[in-house]
Amino acid sequence: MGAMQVMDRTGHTTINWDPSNPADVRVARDTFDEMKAKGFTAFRVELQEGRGARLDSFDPTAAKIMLIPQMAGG
Amino acid sequence: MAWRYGRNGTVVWIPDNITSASTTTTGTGTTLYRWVITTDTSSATAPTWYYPRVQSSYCQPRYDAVAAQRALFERERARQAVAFDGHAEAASALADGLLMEHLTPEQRECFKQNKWFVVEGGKSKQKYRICAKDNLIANVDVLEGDSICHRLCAHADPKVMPLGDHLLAQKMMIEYAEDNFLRVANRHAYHGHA
Repeated sequence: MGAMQVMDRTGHTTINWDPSNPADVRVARDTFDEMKAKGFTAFRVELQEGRGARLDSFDPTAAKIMLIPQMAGG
Repeated sequence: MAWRYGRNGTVVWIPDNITSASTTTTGTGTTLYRWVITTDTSSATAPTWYYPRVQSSYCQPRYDAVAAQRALFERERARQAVAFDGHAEAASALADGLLMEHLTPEQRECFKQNKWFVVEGGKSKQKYRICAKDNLIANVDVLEGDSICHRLCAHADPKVMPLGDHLLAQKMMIEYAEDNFLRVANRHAYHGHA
């Protein structure tokens, strides 16, 4: 089961998907693409291994994806 | 206060209490003072300037970088305080929980004690200290050993998400997209104040 957490005003919103369920994958992919179009940055995170990488396209095999809003210099 | 006036590329500081001058009055009633600069080597003889003894477009006070930065930070601090106060307590607690989930045990302990934690740049292995003040103003310190080289400021709109999410976002950008973070971050000199 994959989980995508989108940071927002509520703290974060979680979208789960079953990689074997095409409908789940489609919803998760659509959300991913929508957030990317808004300027969000996506990361695939592997908490147990302490690793992560930036994602440019949705990966249904990822265990956890984080989406953070666009940053600017302050 | 000293005034600066330059001619021919020469910049000199003029004491405010200069007295060795003769005076003349313009047709509009402005009193001009004449004084001599002996350090100007742009001409064979010591040149003279006429300048008004009031602040003019030629003269400006010495720029205080520390005071200017402090004033800028104060203005931004007030603006961000309003934004962060607008977040619900439940949202802030959820964001803090997500941040804790993504910290290592050492980072978690350090954060609980000191309200900051250190991360390593994914590409450069540079150490950065992310400070959890009540705002995001230049809250990322670039470390050189135990000392701070300078500060970086890059964050999303404070109204968009609670503070805990901002800190986690900065951590992830530094660890997984360091080049992008450095490209957007503004760099501030460290003057020793918060």
